Amino acid sequence: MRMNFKHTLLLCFAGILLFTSCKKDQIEIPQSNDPIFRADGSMTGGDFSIVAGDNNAYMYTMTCEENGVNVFSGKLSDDEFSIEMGVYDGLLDFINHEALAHIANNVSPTFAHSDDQPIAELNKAWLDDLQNVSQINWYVNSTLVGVNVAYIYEPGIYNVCAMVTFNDNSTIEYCNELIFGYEKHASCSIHSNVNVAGELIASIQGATTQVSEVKWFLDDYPISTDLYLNLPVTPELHRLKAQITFANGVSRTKVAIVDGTLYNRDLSDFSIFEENQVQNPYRDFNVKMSVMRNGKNYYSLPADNSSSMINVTGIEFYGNNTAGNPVYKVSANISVMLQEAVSLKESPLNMSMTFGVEIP
Amino acid sequence: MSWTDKEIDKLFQKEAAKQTFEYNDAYWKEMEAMLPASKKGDYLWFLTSGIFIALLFVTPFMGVLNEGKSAEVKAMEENSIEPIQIAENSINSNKVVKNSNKINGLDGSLTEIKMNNSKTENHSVDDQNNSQVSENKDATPNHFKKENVTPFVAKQNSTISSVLAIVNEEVITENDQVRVQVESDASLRENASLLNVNKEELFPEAGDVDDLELHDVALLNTRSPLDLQSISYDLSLPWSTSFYVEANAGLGQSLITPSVNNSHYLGAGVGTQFRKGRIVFTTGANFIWSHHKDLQLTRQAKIYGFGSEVVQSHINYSELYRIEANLNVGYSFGRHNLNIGIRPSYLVGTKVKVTQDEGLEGGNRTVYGFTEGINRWGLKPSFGYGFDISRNLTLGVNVSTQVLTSVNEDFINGVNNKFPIDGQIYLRKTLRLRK
Repeated sequence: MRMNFKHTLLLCFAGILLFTSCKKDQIEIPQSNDPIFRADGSMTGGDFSIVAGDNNAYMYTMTCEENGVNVFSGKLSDDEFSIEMGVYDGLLDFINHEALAHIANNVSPTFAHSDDQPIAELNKAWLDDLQNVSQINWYVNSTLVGVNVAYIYEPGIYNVCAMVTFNDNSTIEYCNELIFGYEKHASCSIHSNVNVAGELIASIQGATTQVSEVKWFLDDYPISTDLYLNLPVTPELHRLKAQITFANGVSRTKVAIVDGTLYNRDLSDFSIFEENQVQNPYRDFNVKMSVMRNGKNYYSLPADNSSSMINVTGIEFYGNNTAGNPVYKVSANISVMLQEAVSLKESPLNMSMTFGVEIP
Repeated sequence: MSWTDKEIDKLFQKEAAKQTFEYNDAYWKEMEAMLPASKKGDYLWFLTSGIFIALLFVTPFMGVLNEGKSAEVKAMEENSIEPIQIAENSINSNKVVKNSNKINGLDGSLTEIKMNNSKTENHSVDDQNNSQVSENKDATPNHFKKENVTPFVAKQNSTISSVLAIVNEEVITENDQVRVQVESDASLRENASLLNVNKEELFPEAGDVDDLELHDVALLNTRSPLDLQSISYDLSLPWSTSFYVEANAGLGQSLITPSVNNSHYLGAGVGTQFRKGRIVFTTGANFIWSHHKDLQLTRQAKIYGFGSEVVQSHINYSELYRIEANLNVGYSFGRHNLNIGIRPSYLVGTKVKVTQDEGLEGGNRTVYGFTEGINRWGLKPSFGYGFDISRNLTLGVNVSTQVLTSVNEDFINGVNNKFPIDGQIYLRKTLRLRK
C-alpha cells in the first residue's frame, strides 16, 4: 500500500515534468528595432540627421535609367530634406554582367562627372568618303539632334539613327547602338562591298578580341552565321546587320548600308563615332549624389569631385522593395562637393550613411 | 635547443609582468552598468521552496522512524483524546500525601490532572533514578510498567533522581475521572518533562484511584490550549505521518489594478501531514488552474525598414497553470484546526488568446505555454481554518495574499495589485496508509 502511494507520487511528479516540458507554442511578438537607413552629416546650412521611419522620412529605392544606362538608386527623403545616391551601371557591352559584384568589390568608387562639353560627335563626313550623301539627319533615341553633324554630351547607350539622303535624292535610314562614356571591352566594324557580279562580300574587321560568333541579317532577315559573308544581293540599297559575339562575352550589333546597284552608295556602320569619342574617364559604376534642402537642389555631377572621397564600409542584402526588386544596404562615409543648381556655388557634404540601393 | 623548466618559468614570469593595458576605473563602471540589476525578493522564494522540498523528502521518512515505536505508544498516539501530562522530576523528599496541601514545605502552583480511567492493571515502575515516591502507606501505589513510561520520559539533567511532584493531594474519582492536583515548585516545573499518554493505557485498572502511584512522574494538565507548556509537551511527542489528497477552489482579487474583475481557480493536489500532539505540519503540492479576464499584454513595437511601422499584439492570458506548494503549521483542538503557512508557487503554463495586427504571423489564435509578461514565481502567506468533518475528511478555508509581483508591468496593461487577497476553500481526504 505504501509503495503504491509512492508510485502515485512519482507519477504525479512525472506528470508535472511532462506537462512543463511540453513543447510550447511560440508567439511572434513584434520587437522594435533600430533604424535601418539613415544619414547623418553636415553641409551648408548645418548638421543634419535623417532617419527612415522618423518624421515621415522614407527610404525610396529604385533603378533609374539615364541615357540608356541603369542607375541603381536610393533616396532618403522627408518633407523638407532629401538625399539621393545613385550608382551607374557598367560593363555595358557585355551580354550579362553582375553589377552587384563590381559594386561590392569597389570600396572606393569615384564620383561621376559631367560638364557641358560634348563627349562624342556624329559627323556625316566620317561616313561619306565618296561624297555620295547630300545630307544626314541625326536622330538620337528617336530625337533629331542635328543635321550632318551632331554631338553627344552625356555618357550612355544611344540608339543613333541616320536619315541619309543621297545625291540622287534616294534615302535610307539605318541605326546603330553606340556606347559613349563607358568602357568597351571589344570593338570591330563591318567591312563590306558588292562586287561586279552582284555578290555581297562582308566580314568583321578590326576586332580587338576574338570573334566567336556572327549572325548576319540582310534587311532584318537572317541570312548567315558565317564569319565571312558571300552571297548575291538584289540591285538596291540594303541594310546589313551583324550581331557579333566576342569570346570574352561582349556582344555588339553593327549596321551598315550596302548598295547592290553598283552606284557606290555603301555606308559604314557607326563604329567610327565610338572610336573618335572624347576620352573622358569612363562612368562605369561611378556614383552621383544630390541633395534637396531648404528648397535648394545640390548635385555632385557638375562639381569638381576629383579629390572627393567615398569609402564603402559595408554592403549587404536587405530585402525586396515594394516593386519586388532586391535592395542592398550600403554603408559608407562620404565627402563630396555639391553644386547648387541656381547659384552654381559648390559646397561640401560630409556624412556617414546607411542607404538602400536597388540592384536588380 | 630545448627549454628547461626554469627557463620556461622565467619566460612566463617575464611576460606576465608586462602590463598590456592601463588600468582604468571607468572600465569597471561600464562593466557594472552592463550587469543586470539584482532582483530583490528572490531569496524569499528560494528559502521557502527549499523548505518545501526538504520537508517533502523528509516527511515520508518520519513515518519510517515511527515504525520503531512500540504498539503501546502508537495506540496512545492514536487515542490521545484526553492527554495526561506526566512530568518527570525528582525531589528526594517528595512524597505523595493524601489530603495534604503542603508537602515538605514546598509551595507551588496547583496543577490538575484529569484521568479518565477506570480499570488499571498492576503497573509498576522500576525507577532507575531511585525515586522515592509515595511511601506513605495511605497513598495507593500506582505502578507503571517501565517499558510503558520510559519512551515518554525525557531523560533530564543530572539532578534527576526522583519525581517532581509534590502532590497537593487531591485525588478524586468521579465518573471515571481521576483528578490529581499537583503542586510543584516553579523551578522544578521548568525541568519537567511532559508527555501525552492515554490513561487507559497507563491505568488500565484505574477504577480505583488509590491504586495509582505517582512514581517518578507527575501528571499535569494545562487548561489553556495555547499554554506554552502544552505546546512544548506536544512537541515532545513522536511524529505521526499521514498523506492526503485535496481539492480546492478559490476566488481572488485581480492581479492587476485598476480592474473590476476577479480571478477564480480550481486546484487539486497531494500532501503530507505530520503531527506532534496537537501541532500539525502540512506540506503539499497543488495544481492550480486559474482563470483571469484582465491580464492582457499589449506589445507595441516600432519596426524600422524603408520607413517605419507601429504594430501591436494583444495577448490575453485567460488561464494560468501553477504548481503551488503548501507549507502550513497548525494547531488542532478537537475537530478544529487553525493553521498558518506559506504557499510558494511556480507558473508552469498559460492559455493565451492572441490578437495581432495584420501582417504579423499568427493573427487571432489560442496559444498554450506563453509565459512572457507573467512572473513565474509566487509566494502567498496564508492562514486558515479547518474542520474535521469525519475522521478522514477535512473541510477548510484559507485566506492568503500574494506578496510577489505577479505580472511584468512593462507588458501587462496595468500595474501590479499590491497584495491581492484570495480566499480558498478546500476539501481534504486523509489517507490512512498503515493499519
